[in-house]
Amino acid sequence: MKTKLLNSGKKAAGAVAMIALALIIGAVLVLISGNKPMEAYATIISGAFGSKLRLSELFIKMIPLTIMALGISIAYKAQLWNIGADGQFTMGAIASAAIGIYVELPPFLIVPLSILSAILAGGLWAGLAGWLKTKFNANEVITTLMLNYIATYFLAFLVYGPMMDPQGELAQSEVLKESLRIPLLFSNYRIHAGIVIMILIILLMFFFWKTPLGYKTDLIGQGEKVSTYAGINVKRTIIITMMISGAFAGLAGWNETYGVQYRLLEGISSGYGDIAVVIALLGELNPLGIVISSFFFSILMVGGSCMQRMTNVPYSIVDVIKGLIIIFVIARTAFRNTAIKYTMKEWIGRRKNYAK
Amino acid sequence: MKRIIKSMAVFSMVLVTVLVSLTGCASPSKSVGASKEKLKVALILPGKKDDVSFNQAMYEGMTAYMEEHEEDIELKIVENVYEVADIQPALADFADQGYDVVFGHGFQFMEPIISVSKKYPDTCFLLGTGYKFEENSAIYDVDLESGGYIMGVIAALTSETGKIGVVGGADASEIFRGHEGYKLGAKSINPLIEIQEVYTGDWTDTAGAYEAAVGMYDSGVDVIWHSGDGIGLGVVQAAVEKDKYALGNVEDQVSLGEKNVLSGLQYKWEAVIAQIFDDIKSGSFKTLSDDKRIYWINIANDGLVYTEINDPKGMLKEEEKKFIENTFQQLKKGEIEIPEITQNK
Repeated sequence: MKTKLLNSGKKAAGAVAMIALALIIGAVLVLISGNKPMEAYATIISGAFGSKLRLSELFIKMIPLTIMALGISIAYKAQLWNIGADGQFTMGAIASAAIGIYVELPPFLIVPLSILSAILAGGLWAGLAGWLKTKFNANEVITTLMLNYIATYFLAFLVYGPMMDPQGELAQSEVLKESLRIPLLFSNYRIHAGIVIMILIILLMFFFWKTPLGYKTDLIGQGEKVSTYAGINVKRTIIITMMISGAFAGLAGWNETYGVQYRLLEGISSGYGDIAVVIALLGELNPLGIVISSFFFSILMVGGSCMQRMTNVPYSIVDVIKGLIIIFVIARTAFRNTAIKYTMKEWIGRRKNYAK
Repeated sequence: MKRIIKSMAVFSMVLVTVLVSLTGCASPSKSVGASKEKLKVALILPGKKDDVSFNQAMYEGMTAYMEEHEEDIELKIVENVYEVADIQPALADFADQGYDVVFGHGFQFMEPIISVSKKYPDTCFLLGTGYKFEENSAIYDVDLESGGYIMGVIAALTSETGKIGVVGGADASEIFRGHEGYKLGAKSINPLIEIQEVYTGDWTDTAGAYEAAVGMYDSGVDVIWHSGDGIGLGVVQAAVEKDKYALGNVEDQVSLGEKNVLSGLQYKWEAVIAQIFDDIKSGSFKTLSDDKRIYWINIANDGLVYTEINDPKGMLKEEEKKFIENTFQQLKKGEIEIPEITQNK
């Protein structure tokens, strides 16, 4: 227990150091652009917490980011590099919007049906990549990325074509009936009851790793041979893991469609999937770590747009900070990668042999 | 395990605190006696303020008005609010921060303004082109038929081949009316003139507009007017390459092709900005009748002008230039009647 605590302390310190370094470099860039770094960061903070509206927007961002990052963490634990959360999100949004717009049933049936369809759509989209991996050994990094493009263009096709709002000229579907929308918590702000779902999922994740499925997923991440020895059907578990991971993203897509936008529109995923990957890695795939990093990124995003509105510092600074964190996270992962360590050891060993 | 439960408890406590603080007070009330303070105004642009087009025209109109009213207006301008996800939060945040007037400069702001304006009845919202409004919102738009008419006159007078062209973005309301005005103007000079017309269907389709313009120039057209943002760049580019004339729109575009941009329409939004602020200050803004909820810029109110004729090829004679100016003055006084143009869709 003590070593575990020490370990997570070390990990947290690493994350904090990376963020601090990114913020320092960001501050230098703000300075170069002729603005005051302290003022810029102060505006980010007040932009995220300064009013009830901003706080509400903070959680509007945090809900999909957290749900998606938690889903991604499941795949990553199994060493399945699902970077297609954006596409899975989009497919979830499409499926649930289609149910809401075209199916004529009472709301109490439509809502669960739409959730189910979003989970299924996201899950199948990711499961497809998992199946391609088990069947053809296709690298899931490539397939999930490509599936992102397909989902994006499929969405564009729908909102410019068959699903376009007949009453307008914009690339969006018609609006969902009010009875189907996720209820707002406060009439004046956009924050909605989807936050409850986020909390439930966070709680669920704390227990997921204790379940047999969680254990199997974790074991697959340790290596295929080990898992086969342990009697696990590796192929099936890979597909199931991918599907669960995608289902989370699909659910986030439902949340965005039914809770925020109330319709399908081009670019609905807003690049959440890519940020969710960084959040999952920065949070060390640990549920608590993910919640904290997702909170941090939501502050950056909401506060960052406010900074752009209120000061002369461009939003690009926020993008730079995000980018730096991504680089640091990747660098750390690479350094920690046991494969590299082993080759290093081997290489040193060989050098020693030659020296003899 | 204990640690997990503990941290979960802490997290849920934080969350509860946040939610409770959110409930504290529902509607942000503003001080009533704010009329003597500066009017807080925000202008949200979807693009860059120096795009030589739609955004720049509004930016210049707003800053021109500001120079005369610095003592009673505080202006904040934001650029590049283009993503759908960013529009509504930007509008709502300004209203929430107690801004009195918020401009959303573009069609895509329509739905967000409708939903935000209901939540902030004390703030006035202005939408740049569109058709939906609420009690505390209005629209400013361009009455393009008279402008199209003068462009048609210039094109027909300049053309030596008797063939002119017009390239538009979406076949939507004001652009359609502009194109029809252009045809009327050109035919008033030469009833037999050949007019080629293309709608690219997309405002940003620079490549499509370029192809269309090249095709027109190759078939003998020697002057083309364009009526949109990105497509305008395509038309001007084609004119430069083919060394023919183009007529600009929205903003003075001579800088884009000094030898090939003959003239063009320039939108002067300041013509209605003053009216908008007068209505807001006098309090009549929220009680406007529906037909007055669209503030039109046109030639009559100096909201539309043509930029100085730039004719390095010498295709226009002095008296023709005078005729153009005359026609412009007549349009201004309402002496040329343009029949009402309706679009059958």
